[in-house]
Amino acid sequence: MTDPILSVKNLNVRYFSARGLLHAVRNVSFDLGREKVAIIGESGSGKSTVGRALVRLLPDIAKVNADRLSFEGKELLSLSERKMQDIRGRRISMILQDPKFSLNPVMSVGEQVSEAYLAHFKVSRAEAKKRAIEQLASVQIRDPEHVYGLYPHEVSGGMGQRIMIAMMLIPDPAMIIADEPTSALDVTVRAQVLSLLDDLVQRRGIGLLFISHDLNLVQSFCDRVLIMYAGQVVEELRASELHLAQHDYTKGLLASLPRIGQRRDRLSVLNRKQDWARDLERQP
Amino acid sequence: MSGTETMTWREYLSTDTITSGRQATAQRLYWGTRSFFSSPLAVFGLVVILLLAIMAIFAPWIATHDPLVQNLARDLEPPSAQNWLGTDEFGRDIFSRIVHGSRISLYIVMLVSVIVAPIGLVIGMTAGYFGGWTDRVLMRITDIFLSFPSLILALAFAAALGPGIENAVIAIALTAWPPIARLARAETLTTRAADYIAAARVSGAGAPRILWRHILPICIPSVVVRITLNMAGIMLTAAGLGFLGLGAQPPSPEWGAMTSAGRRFMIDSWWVVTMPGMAILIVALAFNLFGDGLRDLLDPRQSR
Amino acid sequence: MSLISISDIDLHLGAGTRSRQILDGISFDVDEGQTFGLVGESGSGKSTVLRCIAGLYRHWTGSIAVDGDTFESADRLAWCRKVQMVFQDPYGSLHPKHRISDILAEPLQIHRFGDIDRRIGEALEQVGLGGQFRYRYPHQLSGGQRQRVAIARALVLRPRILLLDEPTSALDVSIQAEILNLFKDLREELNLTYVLVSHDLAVIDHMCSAFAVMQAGKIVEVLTRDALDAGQVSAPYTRALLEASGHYDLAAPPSAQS
Repeated sequence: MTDPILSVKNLNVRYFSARGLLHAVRNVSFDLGREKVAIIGESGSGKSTVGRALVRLLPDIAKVNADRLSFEGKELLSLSERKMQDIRGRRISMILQDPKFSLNPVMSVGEQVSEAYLAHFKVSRAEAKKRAIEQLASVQIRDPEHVYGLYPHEVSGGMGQRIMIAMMLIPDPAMIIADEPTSALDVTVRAQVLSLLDDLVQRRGIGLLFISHDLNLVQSFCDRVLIMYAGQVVEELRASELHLAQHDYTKGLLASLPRIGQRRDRLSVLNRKQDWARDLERQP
Repeated sequence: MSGTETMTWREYLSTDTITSGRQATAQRLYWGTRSFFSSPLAVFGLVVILLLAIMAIFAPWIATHDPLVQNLARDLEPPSAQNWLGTDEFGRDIFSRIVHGSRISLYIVMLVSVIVAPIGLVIGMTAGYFGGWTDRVLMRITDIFLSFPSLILALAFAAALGPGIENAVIAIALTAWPPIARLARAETLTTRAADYIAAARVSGAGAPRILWRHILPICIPSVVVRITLNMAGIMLTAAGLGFLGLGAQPPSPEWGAMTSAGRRFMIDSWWVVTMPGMAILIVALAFNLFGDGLRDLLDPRQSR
Repeated sequence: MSLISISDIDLHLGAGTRSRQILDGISFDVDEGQTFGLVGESGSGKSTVLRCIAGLYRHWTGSIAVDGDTFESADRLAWCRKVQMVFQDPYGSLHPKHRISDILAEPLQIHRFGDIDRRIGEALEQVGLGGQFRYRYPHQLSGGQRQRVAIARALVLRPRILLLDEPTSALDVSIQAEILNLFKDLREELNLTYVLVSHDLAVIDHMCSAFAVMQAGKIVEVLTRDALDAGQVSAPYTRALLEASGHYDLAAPPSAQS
């Protein structure tokens, strides 16, 4: 692999609150190149916190530190908030679970895309509109001129998510963090959004960090998988080799999934062990 | 309390092993109170309101003079050791009058709140839950009351019913319930669609039960907060009516009426108008700060 | 005779020109002790069918009968004692200001059952929660525990039928396995009949002996589990669901539609 786009070494996130300290992310390390890497885990495992920590979008009570958090050679944690804002908009994009909450309800979706374009490039409104329509077409929306004038409540969930992606792509980012981008979508629509993301990685060489709880999906969609439990990465695997997982947690998760055509009277239940949550050794 | 001897109070209030309904309530209160006391402004508001209550209850013992006895030999005296906040044009002690006036202010505020909360809740919740024609009729009535500026409406009522504290209370109550009803309706509309309401209906619960046991507890915090924030406004309206001569009548020491009477001497004897004015300002501010603190405590959604 | 018999349900929501047909000619039967599935995507009307059976919607046309009694002729409270429902979102289906004991006591009070305290303890026991949960508030419980409380609430009236509306889709997979196992155990133990709504074919396949595929308010086809496992699917929509469920096919990206 060539130079990674993002390199994370021993990322830690701690929350301080009135009721005590919560060590939400513990010594997480990974590299992301031009590929699809998944972070998988259950709610509370810290997977979303990792995604937000990378773009420094955590609340003030969270303390983030890392031995290294470099993106395109820049150390993200030491950048000023202004510089960080620049990177956040231009170089790293974030796609969230539900497009309904991310789009402005009183502005047509097309205007929102052209606003995003105007925010990054000094062009005329007419030019921005033209580019926005092109952008909508590039996320495989048919009849983009018509869709341009629609309001968020008039578009379906799948199309809303594609519009979000269109907005995110305008500044031509090097990396996309997608936090459960398809879990609010129906399965048949999900495939469209995934193929779009896949296409971006293949053709534009973007790095995709895919945060999900869906093992089946990640197994067939991503290149590599990090499995998180209690704030730590307990295992890292090639997605195609997920069935060869060694860690009991990963194995337990896989076994607890119902599968079509596999008759079982009872599903196997995850037997959580104390030592999964114990601090793993820090790699030198 | 049985079973707690072996446990310290702190453990009792923090443990996750809850053994009784009483303990659950106590824990809720404890953690809620803690967060309230972490806000200095809210605590300031609470302290002022408590002082006001103490002042009202023990007025005869706190006041240094009879608030109504005139002493024309000592009229318009500036603040001194004998008359802490000076005297008014009839030589009455202003401090004693303010102390006794707190009774009137609290009486008005409490009475209005007690009248307004149930009316607003019943109308708002009924309109919100049943919808349709019920909603339309009730909300139009509310709109009519809302469309008048409250002081003007109160003025009209006070003028029609005749001046006096009781009439001022009725007049203010008539203008204060519509915002509560609107708030209760809005809360009911969002709550009505919740799954726990559907679950209650599947359990066989009828409308009265759902309104009383499920929707009311959701509405109460925001209504309490709203009323606390309104208390300052109620007090100011009462003072305004008093100032215009339509509320409490002389010689009763109502703060608004005192300010009104004192304004003639503003240039030479500033304390006659300033002292009751300051009392109004401080208490109104205290109600607002307390209301804000209460909102953070009871209604985390709306807090900043 | 089947325990649940539903025939030709139509439902419109909204009035006048904005009226939309939500359900169109829904019919199916469920035998006692069976778990019948309804699968489809959001907006297909699958949850609405459950809400009609539970009596949350009243203005449908057609006929719903349970145990020989039709909905119209049945006493409302008696219907509640036969049919209970578990909702999708365990965070939204428990009243945030009620303690677990209050939540479980409410149906018992409405139906004037005696011995409330014992029944609450029993219901908690059935769903695998101990007595220490009795005095907690919902926010002090995890998602899985809340869903167990919601199941306990549905069980206290001793119904014969549970309507399950996406009962595990808001939960983690490991918790999903526990809840699905619990449903299977309860079905044996209490001789329950389920109607299970889900968007996840794998869950339907695991739980149900037969299921209906719904799209846009209509039943596209009714399948048995054996037919699904053997791939004997006739409707193209079911095939699309089957292909899209669970995995993403890198080799053949689906054609995009807008």
